[in-house]
Amino acid sequence: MTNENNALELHHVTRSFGDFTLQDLSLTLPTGCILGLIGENGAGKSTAIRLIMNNLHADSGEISVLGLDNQSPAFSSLKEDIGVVLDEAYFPEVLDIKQVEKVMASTYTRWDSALFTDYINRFELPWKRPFKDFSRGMKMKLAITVALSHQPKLLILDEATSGLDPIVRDEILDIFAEFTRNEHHSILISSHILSDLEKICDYVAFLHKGRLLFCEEKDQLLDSYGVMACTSDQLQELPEDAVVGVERSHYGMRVLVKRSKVSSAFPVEKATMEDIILFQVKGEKNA
Amino acid sequence: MKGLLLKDLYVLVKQMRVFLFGVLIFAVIPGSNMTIFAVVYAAMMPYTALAYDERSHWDQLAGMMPYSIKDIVLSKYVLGWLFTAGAAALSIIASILESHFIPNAGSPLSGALAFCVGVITMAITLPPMFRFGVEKGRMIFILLVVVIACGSAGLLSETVQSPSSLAILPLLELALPVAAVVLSVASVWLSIRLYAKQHR
Amino acid sequence: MEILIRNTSGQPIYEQIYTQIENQIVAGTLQPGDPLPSIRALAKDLRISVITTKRAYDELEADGFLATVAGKGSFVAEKNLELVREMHLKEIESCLQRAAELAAGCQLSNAELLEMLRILLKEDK
Repeated sequence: MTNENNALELHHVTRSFGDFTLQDLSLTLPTGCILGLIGENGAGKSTAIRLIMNNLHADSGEISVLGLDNQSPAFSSLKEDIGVVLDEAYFPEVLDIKQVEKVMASTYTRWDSALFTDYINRFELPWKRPFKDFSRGMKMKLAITVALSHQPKLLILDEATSGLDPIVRDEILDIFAEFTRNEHHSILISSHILSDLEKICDYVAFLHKGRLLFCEEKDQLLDSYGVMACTSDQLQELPEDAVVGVERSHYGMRVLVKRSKVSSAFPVEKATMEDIILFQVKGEKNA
Repeated sequence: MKGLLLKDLYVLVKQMRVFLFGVLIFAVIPGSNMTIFAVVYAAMMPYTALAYDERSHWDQLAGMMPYSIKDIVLSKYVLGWLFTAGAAALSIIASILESHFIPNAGSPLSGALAFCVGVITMAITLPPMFRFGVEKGRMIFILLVVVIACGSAGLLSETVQSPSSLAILPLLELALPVAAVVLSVASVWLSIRLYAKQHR
Repeated sequence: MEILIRNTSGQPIYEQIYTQIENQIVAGTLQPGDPLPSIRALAKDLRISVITTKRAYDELEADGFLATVAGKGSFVAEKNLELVREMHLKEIESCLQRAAELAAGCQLSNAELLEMLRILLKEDK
């Protein structure tokens, strides 16, 4: 049942907490690709990641990572092949980079010291300052360095770019894109910053209140929708099934349409990831 | 497990410098009561390490690394055993050296027995820590430590120094190590189950 | 090799890649036997999805413009003039079809449409 060509497979995974349930989540990340998991805060992205890493037990469903069932006893050692960057880096505050390196080198069998040193110098991080004195950007850079230095096949990134300024974000996204130049490398990245995901993802999955609303190829998604600014009269001219969502203002309206259902006579502009998501969540359909 | 131990050592040596120095002092001060305190305080190191882990949410990161729950729990025990063995060894050496100058400086035996007491202390106090976390487990922990420390300090100095209770000594020599091993095995087993339940 | 992705046109990205590579092959800028960048390298360099470049390459291969050698990569295929002609004929047909649809849409008669074509052809000469 598990396809060896997939870096990650989730089948009907469900997990309830008191006031929140992650429902029936099924996702596939093919090897060599980048899957972006979008969702607002609290949508279930971090829960999904903890379930994948077996830090949390699912109520039902199966998860396999790099071809191995995550309930198998060998899964602990498989984590050698998975690099994780969490929302908060969680290194002990009093350690400095040199000490973090020693700890990690003793943890992972394929630790590459030269690569680690390379990245630390490239990021210009201080070797001897305690971790608690780092800015958010520096903390994330260290976490990313650690994740990459044990030569993983799969990177799992939970909000790894939030709280970073745009220049640093771009630098880091480049590094992630570089990682997948190798066809055996895959990335699962969760974020609520849509523009980041739009840049590097091959697939996008949208989680909303614990449910997966869609999982599609990013370019196909962007190609199939368009945005039109129009008056309410023009709106009437559009075929019923072409309109996905409408945003009204005092001066007119913006409409998200399916390109295939709208003739090219209409001036349809390119839709961004943000348009597609926001219209689906907020926009009311015109009766 | 080496990585986990290394991390704890780095943190403790940096943060608990004064405390560890105190343990050192207790270890070398003559008298078997002091030995007990040194060893039991050394046995508090796993608890301290857990407290620092909690503060930096280390368990989240540890769960992502190639460590099993067994590794994570056992590393705290190994940490404690190393510190208590160190304190005990120090006081044994000290007592041997000092007994040249001071009578009743304590015997190597009391050092060894103290080590067992330290191990037993850990065996009893760690499972509540793994189950309830540092905040809630703190009260239980302090209570247990005080009871064990004072109780065994009194018992030990009585037994070693008064000739009339020499009869009890062989019993203790046998009972304590056995208890230490048995309780430790049970404790590790229990802690692993409690931690797994708590963190998954 | 130059490939420019434009966001302003409504044309899907894989189509833009397809068209630009096809044009370069037909024009002779890319010669038979020339190596093409790997799907992955192209994707990363253009900052687009690997799936999109793969789709473009798959279609180019299906239409005979390039060939993939396992382990070595993709190369421009031997130019099959017959094939190219056939492709262009297909394209003319679809353009004319489109013109016919538009004409019907604004109620242009067949005669008027043919007249437009005649004028255009005369202008070309």
